[in-house]
Amino acid sequence: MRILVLQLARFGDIYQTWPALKAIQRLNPTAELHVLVRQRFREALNGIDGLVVHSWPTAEILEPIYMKGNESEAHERLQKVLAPLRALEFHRIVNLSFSPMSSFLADILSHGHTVTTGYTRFEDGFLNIPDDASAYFFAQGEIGKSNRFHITQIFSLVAQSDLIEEDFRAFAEERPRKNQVVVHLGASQSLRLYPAQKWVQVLRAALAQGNEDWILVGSPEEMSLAESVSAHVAHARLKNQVGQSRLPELMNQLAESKLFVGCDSAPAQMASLTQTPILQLTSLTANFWTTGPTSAGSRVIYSENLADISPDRIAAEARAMLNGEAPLGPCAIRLSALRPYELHDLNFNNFSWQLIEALYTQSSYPEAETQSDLLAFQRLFEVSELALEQVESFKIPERRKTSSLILANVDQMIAEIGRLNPRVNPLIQWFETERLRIPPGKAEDTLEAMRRLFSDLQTISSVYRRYDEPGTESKRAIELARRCLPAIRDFRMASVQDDFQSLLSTLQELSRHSTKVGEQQWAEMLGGLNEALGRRDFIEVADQLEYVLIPALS
Amino acid sequence: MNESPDKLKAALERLETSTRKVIETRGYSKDAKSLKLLEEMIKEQLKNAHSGSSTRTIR
Repeated sequence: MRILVLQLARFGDIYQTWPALKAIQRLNPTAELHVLVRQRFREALNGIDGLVVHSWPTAEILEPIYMKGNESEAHERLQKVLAPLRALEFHRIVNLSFSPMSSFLADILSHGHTVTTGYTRFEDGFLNIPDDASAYFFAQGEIGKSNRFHITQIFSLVAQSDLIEEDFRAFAEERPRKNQVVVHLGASQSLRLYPAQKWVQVLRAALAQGNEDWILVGSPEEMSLAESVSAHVAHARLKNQVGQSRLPELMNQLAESKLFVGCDSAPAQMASLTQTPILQLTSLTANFWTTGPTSAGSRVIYSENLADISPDRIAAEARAMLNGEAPLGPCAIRLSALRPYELHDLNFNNFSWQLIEALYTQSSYPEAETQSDLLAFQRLFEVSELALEQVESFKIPERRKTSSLILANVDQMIAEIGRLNPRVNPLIQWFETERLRIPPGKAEDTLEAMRRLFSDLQTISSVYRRYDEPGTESKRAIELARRCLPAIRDFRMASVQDDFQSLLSTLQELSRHSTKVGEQQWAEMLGGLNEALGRRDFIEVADQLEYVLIPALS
Repeated sequence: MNESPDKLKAALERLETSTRKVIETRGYSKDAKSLKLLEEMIKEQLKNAHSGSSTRTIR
């Protein structure tokens, strides 16, 4: 069997791919394992035996465009690069790149018999996400979302190869650790950098507290930063080796060090593979749950703003780790590569993550924490109900045009619900991703797939629906209407938005269970209210609530 | 490789036109696939600082 893994991201991502590659090798001992990486990052695969490594020559392919503005020649070069890869007729392609470019590449390199996991393309050219793990990443994985599964696990799921602890080891044997700490001042992105002047304070404090050598490492681009920090610290046990080591040498150095200190970067990913405990500094700009350290004993100090982390805290926490002592303050702790982080005095809101767990791992749905959450789910329930009606209506030719328009509005409504309450976004992202995965096909099959999906959305949203007996619901509606009235009369609608939306939802629920409210038809009552809202005639809205609705419900 | 974003943008526009024509006449064929791949390679260059960079972002 011939397997191709596509990893077209950077150094750090390639190191995070090592466990999946080792797992594939372990589980497919007779397979030929090929890996395609960008030429510039090829060195990050040094250290895994038995791979056939291919380089993706971006610069070479695009050179005719840069030099002569000639895209036809670039296209010819591309074909020449693709031909030998296609000729290998891979049985499996595992795309771990999660990018549009890689999805086209995976598609081009596949043959009729190839089984592909990871992003690829449908026969009509639209994005195809064939496996659930990649769909999960598409929906929930990016920075700013609520994912807490580690990227190494996600990669292994895409590769359909379960990990064991040994897959995380760059070296089979543990090496003797020297009395040294490795520090990387840089980071993969400028937003993830800890300020240089604070590094000076960290290093001064750390060097004063112990007798270890502290070694600065990094790329040649980071030399001026390191020289400046080193000059300010001016200590005999601070050794500046930035720009001096190739990656394999750095890997050896990390394997012989007691501790690594730094932000989210490639050297940190390497330290995870050498089982070196890591003290990582992280903030909102990097999701440590996804890309943080995996070596046992690692700790993550988190602050929304990286610069807010105190240098003394970092130095003291490093000392505690070197001495084998308990954490000194809030942090996330990694006990082993395969176990998730444990939080020590560190609190995050768990609602969105628990919602993700419920959606993907069949655990229980979390309790809604706010009225706003309940409202968002209620809205999703109503919108999916509307969509289901329109999917049915679409089957009748003369109603098709109107149904299409309404369904297009449904998309906007769903997006708006997520914008107003991002806490429910995991559900919306799940829904949008699953809709994207509907394959091209006959109109009736697509419609049926849409119907099933909206039905699932409605079922999930219904978990959060609250409906008591009509008397209680009527009382709730009266209470909400009375609460909203003063603000509506003062044209301060925005200040009672949540209550007003709850009122509308409650009225909708009541109208499902009876045709009349007092002497009036529900349809007439709700129609009048909607009409006044549509005209933004808030005095009329208030009058209807006060003089029609409340008396009718009472 | 960073000096010529204008050349890249112009090449991308021409490529998009060619790809559209290929897809209209021959569907999502082998040629269309490699043209789309080239388009995406250029888009990555326009988005990132240098040819070595990549992102996970698909949207």
